[in-house]
Formats: sequence, structure tokens, C-alpha cells
Amino acid sequence: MITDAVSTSTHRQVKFSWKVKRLLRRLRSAEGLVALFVVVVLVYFIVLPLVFIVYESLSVAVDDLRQIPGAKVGDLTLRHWIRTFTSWTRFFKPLLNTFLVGGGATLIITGMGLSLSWLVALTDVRFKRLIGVLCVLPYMMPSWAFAMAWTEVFQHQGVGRSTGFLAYYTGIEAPGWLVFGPLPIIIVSALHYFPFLYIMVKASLENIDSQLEESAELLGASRFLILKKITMPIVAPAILSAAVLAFSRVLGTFATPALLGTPARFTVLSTQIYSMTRFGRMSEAFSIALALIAFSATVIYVNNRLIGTRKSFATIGGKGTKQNLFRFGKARTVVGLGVVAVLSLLIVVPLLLLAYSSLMRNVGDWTFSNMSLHWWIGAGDPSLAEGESGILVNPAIWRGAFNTIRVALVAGILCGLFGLLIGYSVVRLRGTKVAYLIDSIGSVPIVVPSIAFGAVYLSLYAVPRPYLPMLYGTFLLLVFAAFAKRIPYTTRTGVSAMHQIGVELEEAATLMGAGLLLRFRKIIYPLARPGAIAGILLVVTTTVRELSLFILLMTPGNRVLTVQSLTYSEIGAQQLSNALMTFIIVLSLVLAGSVKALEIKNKRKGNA
Amino acid sequence: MSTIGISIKGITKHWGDVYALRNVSLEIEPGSFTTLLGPSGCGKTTLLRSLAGLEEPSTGELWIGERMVFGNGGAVFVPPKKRNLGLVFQSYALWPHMTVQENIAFGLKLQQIGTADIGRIVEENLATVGLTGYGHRYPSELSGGQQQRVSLARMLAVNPEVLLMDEPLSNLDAKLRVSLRAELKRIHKTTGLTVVYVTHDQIEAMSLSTHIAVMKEGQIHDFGEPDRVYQEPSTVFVADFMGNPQINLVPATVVEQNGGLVAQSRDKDWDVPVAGFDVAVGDSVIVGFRPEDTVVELSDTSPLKIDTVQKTGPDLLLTVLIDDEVVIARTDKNSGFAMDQNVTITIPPESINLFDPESERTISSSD
Repeated sequence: MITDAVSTSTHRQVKFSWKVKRLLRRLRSAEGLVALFVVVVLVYFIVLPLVFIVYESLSVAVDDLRQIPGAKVGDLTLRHWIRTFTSWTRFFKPLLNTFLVGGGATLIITGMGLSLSWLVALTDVRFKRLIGVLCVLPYMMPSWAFAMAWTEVFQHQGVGRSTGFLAYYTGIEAPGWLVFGPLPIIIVSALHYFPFLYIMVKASLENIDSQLEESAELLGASRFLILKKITMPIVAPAILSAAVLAFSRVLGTFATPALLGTPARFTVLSTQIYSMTRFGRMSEAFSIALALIAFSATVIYVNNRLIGTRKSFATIGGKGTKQNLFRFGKARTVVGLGVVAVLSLLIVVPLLLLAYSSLMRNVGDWTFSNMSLHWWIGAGDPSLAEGESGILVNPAIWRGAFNTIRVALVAGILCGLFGLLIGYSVVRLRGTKVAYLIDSIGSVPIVVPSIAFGAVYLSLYAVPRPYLPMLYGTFLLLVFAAFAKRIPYTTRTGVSAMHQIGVELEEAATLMGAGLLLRFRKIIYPLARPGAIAGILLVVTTTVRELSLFILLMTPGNRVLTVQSLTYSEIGAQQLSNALMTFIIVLSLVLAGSVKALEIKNKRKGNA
Repeated sequence: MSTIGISIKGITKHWGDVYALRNVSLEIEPGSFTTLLGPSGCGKTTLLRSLAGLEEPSTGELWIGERMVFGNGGAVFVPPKKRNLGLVFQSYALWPHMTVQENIAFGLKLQQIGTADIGRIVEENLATVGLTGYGHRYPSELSGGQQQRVSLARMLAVNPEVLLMDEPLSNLDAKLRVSLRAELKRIHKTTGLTVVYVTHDQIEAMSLSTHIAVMKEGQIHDFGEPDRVYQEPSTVFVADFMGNPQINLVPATVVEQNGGLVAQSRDKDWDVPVAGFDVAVGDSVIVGFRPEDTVVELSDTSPLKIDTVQKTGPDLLLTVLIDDEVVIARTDKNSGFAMDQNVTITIPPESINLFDPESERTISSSD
């Protein structure tokens, strides 16, 4: 009896040790190690901050001690949620405004995006390439560039601003609702985000197998009927999906409503988060942030659930070439010219006016004699803008430019490399829960609006906390925030890069005795490098024009250009702000343009 | 000649309820060319990858030579690099950013062989696969067949004790497949390596192997020399899987006729003597016979009729319906048969296989 019991227990122990051994072996395997590292990083940079804001929004803060007698800091309380979610001014009004802006902008985005993508993809209109460039241009610029241009055109002294272009030349003072408030926010947001829908819909229109349309034509369907019965149903999911995603983007946008809404006391959720954070009411800011995250997440979840899977049939059997174009015939040049003219008026002219206004020495005086390079290269003049010197001769601006590029580059490189590790673990562990987990967490920052992200990082690192470094005011904090917010970008580039690298390539090296590091260095990295670089460039170009993520994290010592531009605008140095904006736009366009050129070059090389 | 054999003992591999391998056992002789043959999803690749150490079985034991490489419920697991074997992949798995030379030298460098020796070994192995002078090319500059030769040379260079191949020819076109088949056979002969080869192509298996293991649904249905497996398949599945055109399978019942036992088709139009088999009157059986063993003769009195005639070049393929079963017979191209002729079909006794319709296993002959 006794010996029996002993032997079973040792047997059990032995069996247990096998299991442990197996588990350890799996963890020590390449995928296991990489996945473990990836999960730890994701938890630290994404999950932890999210848990933190939920916790903060539900616990007693120092400021609450007076209101809640007997409470200690950190006690659980529903006070912030109740205060926030029962208040018309604090929550429901901004919420309503947010949806008003989002809905209105989405309508315009859909209209513009649809008609322009149809023109470029399915007709024989002239100047297609130029139209195409004009249609992606707004997306390469800071989101609030048009907002600044808008004010330059429409503002006047009647709304307490300097004289704008329109008022100066025509004497017409635009009504207040046209200068500030929901309407301009809707129009300006639409101008920035319509390229998003244009790009997605155009791609799916171009990818329709033209045989599908030709079959209908052979059966006697008219062109209109084909568009209605064949083309539209096939691309409808893509259109809907693009519209939904554009809507969720507008929901979280901050800079435009801040510039065009705040003067008219028009608040949306994102600007509400900003002002509450500024006033130090973090717990309530976080409550609103959670609501905004919940809205974006719901929108995207519904999109993935309802449309995501159906979307796939839009891209089946693409041929790339379209013979079956709608013909404008003789009108194709006229139509082309018209479209180019309208787009130029909407996109190019405002930006030129913005640049022009940066050349006006005295604000509101649009005459040629007032033109000067003062705001660009002039030495400080105590009578103008508190004596700030021109941006190109201001060492603070150069420090800001250096800082901007440094943040973008470091965050980009971190993201690019980390994206490879994400891609590696997701692709190698495909079908497992771990891969799903990594993929999901890696996409979470999409639904967290930048302004909320910035607020969280500010709060996490502004005061000393156990296990976390004190980073407020440091360069590293900007890098952390940019890195975490951009992880979804490189998740995508990393996963697609890894998909290209067959598992056999690595297994062959494993069989020959190459360890994990050697395989990464000699096999994986050289093959995935183009993907990594694509990820890095994507992060760099988008970080250079980022504002809402950084605005709360800024201290005077670590400014980036975008925030500086907004600061100038806030202290009334409009021309400086415009000059700096022009500078940022040029920088963004140059970066985006060279990335595009590099992509084209790579593609050619790949085809050769 | 390699002295390394492989023992597979009761290997099972499953993910939850999905079983890839069910209690598979196999003894692979040293120096043999053993093929794991079966349709996709039969577990052959999982078994091969388990041997390589790229998959870990759930239970069972694996021995390479005298060494246990997996066993004791996972307590013993020798990592791939210490198993001293080579694996040639279906996709070649050549590293596209390295030249042919660098591909082959990779494993040698890891073995810390001197540079001079590496150069020599690379050249030797390029010569073995007939690619002398191609060392500086990149894989993308080679044809599929050449790439697969490089892949082979890369694995031969590290001097493995066992060479594993996972459908190495299936990405190549038909002509190239035939010539590479001959080459593989030659390389096996000159190196004397123990080779384990995975394919779904029974012609490849027949022409290359010294032994064939036919697999289905994670189990080995038959294992033996190619001729035996072809002539005397152990199950209906194996009979059906081997051979093109496929084996004829006619359901029949054993009856007594003129003092001997015959298997008679259910419509009683056709029968074959089954005297030598372990059967009794009334048994249901399946009669299996190969098209090339089927003897067709004209006979006006026979109820059987030629249904179609297909020319393939060297042969005429005839189809005849026996009890609604299509029976294919392979006859000489000059045999002159035509549609709708009445014929008899007879099978030489040694070419007849009988199967039990219940178990689908072969019924042994009593002699």
C-alpha cells in the first residue's frame, strides 16, 4: 500500500516535471521568447495606461477630499462618472456636438471621396494624375492647416480678430457662424479626411474584375445599370467601411475644433478633455476620454463585424487595367479642368493664402507694400509679437525642429523594429490565442484619440509613481507616447512583411544550428528590412505633423514645431504661427513626397 | 552506406481534438529510401517534421540510430540542430538575399569549418548536384529545378546522417520532375544516406523508394517494398491510391460454381475464380485487379460490352461496365477493340486481390 502511494506520487511528480519542461521549451522557442517580449511591451505601453485611466476615473483624487468627507486618496468612487455623465454642459452637449461634427463631415467626405474616386478610377477624364495628387495632398499635411487657412480667409474685426482676406478685399464681413463653430469645423475636417475615403474606394473600384462588368455588358446592360447593379454592390461594403472609419477619425480630432470651435464656445469631447486636463481635473477628463474611446471602439468593432468580412469580395480577381471606362468624350478636358480648378480652390489656394499671410508685416494688411520677410528672417522688433524674431533666425525654433525630427526618428525606428517582432510573433503563432491577443492589443491605440492618449501619458509620468520613471518634461516621454500611439501602423507593416517570409526559410537555418539571434540577424532582418523601413517612414511622416498627442506633454524645454505654431497663435502672433505652419507643411510634403518616391523606386526594383 | 536507421514508436500528435498522427509506428532501415505516401492531410508532413524536431509529438518515441530524440512524454527532446539531419523543403527555402555559395556555406560556418574547407565543400556539393559554376548567382536567377538542387546541396554539405525531403519535386513541371527523380536516385546511391521522403505522387514513390509507407488520416495503412505494396495492397485505400489508371474494384459475392469457389458480381454477369483465398460461400468481397492485368477477349455470347475506348498513345484504355462499376482495361494500341463489342473479362489468379467490404482489409490467400 505505502510503496504504491509513494510510487504514484513520484510518478505524478515526474509527469508534472515533464509538463514544466515542455512549457519551458515552448517558452524558450523563438516564437515564445519573442511573443513574451512583445506582450510585455504592449502591456506596459498600452494596457497599463488604459487600466490606469479607468482606475483614475473611479478613484478619489486629492481635489475631491474636501467634497467627500472621510475619504482617502485612491478610494473607489463613482463621483467623477456621475458628475460627468449626468451633466449637460460637461458631457452631453459636447457629445452632441461631436456627433454633429462627425456626421456632417462624414457626409461631405463620402460625397467628395465617392465622386472623385469614381472620376479617377472609372472615367476617361483628363488630368487624372493631377487630380489624384490633389486628392491625397490634404492627408499629408497637419490636420489643422486648413483651419488656420480658414481663419485667414474669413476672420474680421467683427469677431474680434484681425482683418481676413475676404473682408479686406470685398469688405464683406462673414457672419459669425461661418467664421467659427460647427460649420467651419465640418468643412475643414472633411477637407482633411476625404482623401482617406478616396484612397480606399478608388482602390476597390480599380480592383473589380472588369470581366464582371463586361459580362453584364454582353448581356445587354446599360452603363448606368452596370454601375447600379454590379459595380456599386461590389464596392458598397468598402465605401461603407471607409465612411465609418472616417467618422471615427473625425470623432477624435482635436486641433481643428480647438481652433475653430473654442472662439465660438463650441466644445466637442476632444476639446473638453483638453480643457479639463488643463484645469487639472484629470479624473473627469479621463471619464470623458473613456466615453470617447468607447464610441470609437464601438464604431470600429461594428465595422469589422458587419462589413469587414464582406469587404473581401471587393478585391477578388483584380486585373489592374480597366478598358471599360466611362467616356466624357469631347468634354473630358473641360471636366478635368473644372475638377482641378475646384480642388485647387479648396486645397491649394487656402494654403497659398496661409503662406502669403506669413509675409504680412502688419497683421490684417493684405497690400503688397506690407509684404516682408520679417516673420521668417527678421530680427525681433519689440513693437511686433512681443519681439519674437523670424522663425528661421530663432534658435528656439531650430531647437524645436531638431526636437521634432528627433522624436519622429527615434519613435519611428523603435516602432519599425518592434513592428517586426509583432509581425514575427503574430505570423509564426498564427491561429493561437497569443497571436490574436497581440494583434488585438496592437490595434487598440487606433481607438484611443490622440488627445486622450496624451492626457494619459501626462498623468502617468507627471508625478513619481512606483515602478515608473518620472518623465515629465523629458524627450523620452514624447518618444514613449509617439511609439505607443503608432504601434498599430507598424503592426500592419510588420505583419505583412513577415507574411512574405516563409517559415521554411527560418526552419532551414534552425536545422543547421542557427540560434534565434543569428536567425534574426542573418535571415529575418535582411528579408524584412523593406517592411521595417516602410513602417519607420510611416511613423516619421505622421509624427512630424502630430499635435494633439504632444500638446499636453509639452514643457518649454522640449517643444515640437506643431505645438509652437499653436502657441504663437494663442499669444496672437498669427503671422509667426502661419509662417511656422507653412514650414511644417513644406516639411511634411517633402517627407511624404520622398517616401512616395522611395516606394516607387523599390517597386521598380522589385519588378526587375 | 549510412548505418543510421529510424524507429518511430507509437507517435501520436494532436491539437485538442484534431489528430494529425494516431499511434504511428515504423522501422526505417539504414540506407533505405523510405517514402511516406498519402493524400494531403494524411499526416505525412507532420511525421516528417516531427522527425526533424520542427514539431513536437504529443506522445510516443522517436529514435534516430541509437539515440532517443523524443520520448518519455516529452522529457526527452533533442532540438533540431542536434539531430544531425537535413531537410529539403517543397518551397526550396533558399535564402533569397544570399548567393548560392552563401546559402550552402551558411551551415558550414555554423559548424565552424575553416574558410578554405568551406570553399572546397561548397564546390564538391555543387558538383554533386550538377551546378558547378553557379555559386555566385542569387536564387532568383535560377530555374525551379536548379533551386531545388541548391537546396539539396545545402543540406548535403553539412554531412547529415539522415536526409528528409518534403515533396521536393511537386513545385516543378512534369519534365523536370522526371529528370530530377533520376538525379535523386543517383545521389541516394552514391551517398548511401538514409532518406525519408514525403510525397502524394504515387509514381514518384514507386520509382524512387526502397520502401513505401502509405498513410491516411494519421495512420499507416501499408508499409513495404514498392512492388509488394502495388501488387498486394493491404487495404482498399492503398489499392485505390496506388496506380494510374486506378485499380478496378468490383463488389461481388462468393458462390460455388462447377465445384470451385468464384466471386460473382451482383448482377451475375461476371465472375472470377477465388479458389486460393480464405473465403466461404456467401461471403461478400471486393475484387480488386489492375487495368494492366485485365485480359479482354471478344465473345459474342458475353453479356459485357465495351463502353468507351480511349487512346493514350502506347495503349488503348477500354471501359466496361460490370454491375454499374466502371472497369478499366489496358490493352495494346494495336488490339483493335471498338465500342459496343461484346467481350469477356478474365484475370490471372496471381493478379487478383480480395478485400473484406467491412474492414476494407485484404483477404489473405490460403496458399
